[in-house]
Amino acid sequence: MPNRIKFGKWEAVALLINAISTKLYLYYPRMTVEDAGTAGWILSIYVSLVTLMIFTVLIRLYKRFEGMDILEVSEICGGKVLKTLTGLITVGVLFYLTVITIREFSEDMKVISLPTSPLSFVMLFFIAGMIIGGFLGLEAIVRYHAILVPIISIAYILILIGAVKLMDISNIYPILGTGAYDIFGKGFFRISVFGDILMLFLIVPSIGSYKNVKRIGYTAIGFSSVFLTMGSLAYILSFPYPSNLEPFLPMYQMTRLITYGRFFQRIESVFVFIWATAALMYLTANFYFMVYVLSRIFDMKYIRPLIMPCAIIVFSTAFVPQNLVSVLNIETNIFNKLIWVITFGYVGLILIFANLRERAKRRSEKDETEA
Amino acid sequence: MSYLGDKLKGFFLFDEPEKNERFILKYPADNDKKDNGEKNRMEREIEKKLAEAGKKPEPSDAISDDIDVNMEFMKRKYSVPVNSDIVLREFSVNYRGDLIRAFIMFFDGMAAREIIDNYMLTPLMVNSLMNLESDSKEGLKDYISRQLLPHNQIKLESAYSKVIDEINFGGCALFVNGLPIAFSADVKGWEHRGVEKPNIEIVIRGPQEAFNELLRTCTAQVRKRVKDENLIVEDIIVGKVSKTPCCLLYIKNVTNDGLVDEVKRRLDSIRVDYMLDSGILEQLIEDSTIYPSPQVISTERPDYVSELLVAGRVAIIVNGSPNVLVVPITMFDLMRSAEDAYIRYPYVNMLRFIRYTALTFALLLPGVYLAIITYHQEMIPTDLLLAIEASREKVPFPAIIEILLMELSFELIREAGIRVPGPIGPTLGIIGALILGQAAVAANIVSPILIIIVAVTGIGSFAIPNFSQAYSVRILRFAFIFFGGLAGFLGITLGLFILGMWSASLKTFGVPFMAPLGPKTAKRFNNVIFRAPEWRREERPDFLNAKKSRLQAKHSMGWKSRPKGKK
Repeated sequence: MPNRIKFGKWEAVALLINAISTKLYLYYPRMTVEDAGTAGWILSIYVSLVTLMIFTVLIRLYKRFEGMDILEVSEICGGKVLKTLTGLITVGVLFYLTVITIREFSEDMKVISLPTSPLSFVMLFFIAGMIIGGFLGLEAIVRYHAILVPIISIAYILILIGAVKLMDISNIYPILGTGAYDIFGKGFFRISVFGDILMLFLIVPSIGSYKNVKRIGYTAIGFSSVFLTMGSLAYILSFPYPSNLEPFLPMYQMTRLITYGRFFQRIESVFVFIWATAALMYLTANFYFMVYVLSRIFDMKYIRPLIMPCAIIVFSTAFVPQNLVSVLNIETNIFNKLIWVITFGYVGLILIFANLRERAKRRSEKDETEA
Repeated sequence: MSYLGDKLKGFFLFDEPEKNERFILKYPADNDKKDNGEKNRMEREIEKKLAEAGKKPEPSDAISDDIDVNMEFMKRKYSVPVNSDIVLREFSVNYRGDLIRAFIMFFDGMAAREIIDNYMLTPLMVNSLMNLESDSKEGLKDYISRQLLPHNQIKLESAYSKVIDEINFGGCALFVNGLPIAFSADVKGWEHRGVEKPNIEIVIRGPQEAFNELLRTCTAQVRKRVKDENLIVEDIIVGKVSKTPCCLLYIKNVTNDGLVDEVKRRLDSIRVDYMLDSGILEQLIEDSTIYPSPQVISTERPDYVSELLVAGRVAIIVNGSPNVLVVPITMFDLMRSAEDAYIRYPYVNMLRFIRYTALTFALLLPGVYLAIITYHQEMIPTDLLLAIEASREKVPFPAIIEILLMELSFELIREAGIRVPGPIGPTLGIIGALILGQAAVAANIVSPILIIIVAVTGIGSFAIPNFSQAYSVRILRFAFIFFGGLAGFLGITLGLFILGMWSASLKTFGVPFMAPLGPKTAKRFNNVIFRAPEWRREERPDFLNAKKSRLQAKHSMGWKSRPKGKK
């Protein structure tokens, strides 16, 4: 981190909760239904448990590298070359996530709120948020998360409470949805949803001890799992299975049906506030880490010179997919099945090799002292 | 504008930032312990002050023992006789039978003439003839200071600059032939206001005293409330030419030493010729000059300053200003009123809720109305939508023009209301009400619903307890109108995001502006948005890193706990 900014546990947890849970507003509930039918919520629980187990392994492997981020661990493992490679892979992942998310949010925002405005205009608002966030720095980003994440969470829970009267228990049947294999076999790949935990391995120097990192990781995964599962379950209960497969903003569809008496009938516009805030926060954090890792690769002292060029690249690349459907296709069918390979697989490998290297180093040191 | 231009340029072009060390308010070191042989802050300060007092003046600044040289110097310095309000009175003092030449100098109107006549001139000119010195072995200097000047504050100065400072601040200087020093008597006696009721921060419950323009009256007002020998009042001079006396107030065994040092560092480093009011000083010590909200509390209430000092903050009093500055603050302090401490907590919490609602209305209502009317019509229930549309049907302007027109008119009336002479005030109210209310609607320039929106917004901004914060909300409201008109709720969300991130990145005197929520600190819900009952306010705000974190005993209501041994 620049000058090794320090922040508290709650700030880090809030950052990770928002990063993981933002998918709720986009595609997550529908994706679980597509994969496992009416058992989407079971898939959600299963994925959370698998992630917790994998995280337990990763964090054990991390024990020796207290206070180091994944780039520093890579450097121990394979020198500057591996550090650069890890950096480039991380930048690639963050870049992809930023591009896809910004396109998706902009498309959705255009449909629900600004139908006559061009897509580029809508996208500019998110880009502006990202640039400003980048300039203000990590301290501002995490503090803003610390304040806003509880508010967004409360609003989200209120939405779910509001949707209770729409829920029909019969929508949950058959309990196992499209079958156990779809849930526990194919469903494994959906651990990619928790791929944003990668950020934790970048903020380690800012949060201090190994114990803190461990606690933050578990808390963030725990809270996110609850939110994701609640969202998935509420969505499945609210709509019959065929309607659940509608390819457009599941949570938004739910809020559209919520009414509080005769006067408050269209609260989905209020949902836009929560939704756009969560999106801006997520995109800003992702973008910041992308630029930060890039600056680390090139050993740059400041990240500011990279902000504007990177923002322009993100903005331009976001127009590459032809339409919303192709964005959703890329997201749910390609990257969301594969991204775990990097966020869990690659990180795991780096940690294993780094551990082996450390062990070998210690052994040789021990031999030398004995000799 | 060039400042804004530079900021904008900074977005596109990169210049290596200046290496400014940002102040961080750290946990207090255990300075009061002397085990390591180090002196604590107060001991260091005392040594510094004593060293300063014992310092010999520069040769060019040293007072001569020849009265003619001194008189010539002082006359030249004060442009006598062009300068009409400076008084130079020559006379003789009898010392061991000799008549020794002397003169006094003071500003007419600033010094108390009666005191000078009765306690300086009479003893020097008349009492000296009684030959009181005959039995004593004292020299002339000691004879004058110990026997002839019965005034309570006499200083012996050996530098012209010091004497001039004293005269400029209402003192009277006495030069005596043969003495290379001058006596300066604190005889300030200018006309001033008494201690009156507060004008801006009016409360129903609580003390009804406000600060005035006299430095010592202000410090005394705080001291009579805090009544603690640990309350320190340090003098600091700001302004190269004006040499405005300021006072730094803090409680030495509570306030973080780092914070006191930082405030002193900022005050000492100010390089301006004239500093005439605390409003100017506020702008010179704040962390961000472009951020809309104030980053310093400016209050006219001694009781509020005392409360903030007890919490571990530092106050700055500027001579001639009835507003005292208190640092550091957080965003939530701007929504507090002095009265909050005096009324029961359910009432305070209701008031706080109303204030935050008022803040939301004042900041967002016109922007949100514009966003709904322009982009999110579906949000309005059908009946209300029909009513709004019917009222807007005859209005020829788009909603954004309509809002800007009304907001601008409102701001015009508000500004004119302050500037207008008293007797014309009611007329302005009538014109305002007619223009804003009836005529604009009758002429179909604005819709009636907008009148309600603007009125509620205006009332909302008046309910904000901090005067400067109300200004910032007025400015930001226009930004939110712009954002709402540009992209509806998305625009407003971006506006809130920028404002929130900006606030989160800001620090005032090392304290994060959004503390204790972002970053989260301990005991954060005791007195942030809502206030805990008085007996629960056991700890000082964590973000102040005070030397003593406990404010009161865990069981502050002693009468509730059962005495030991009794069942």
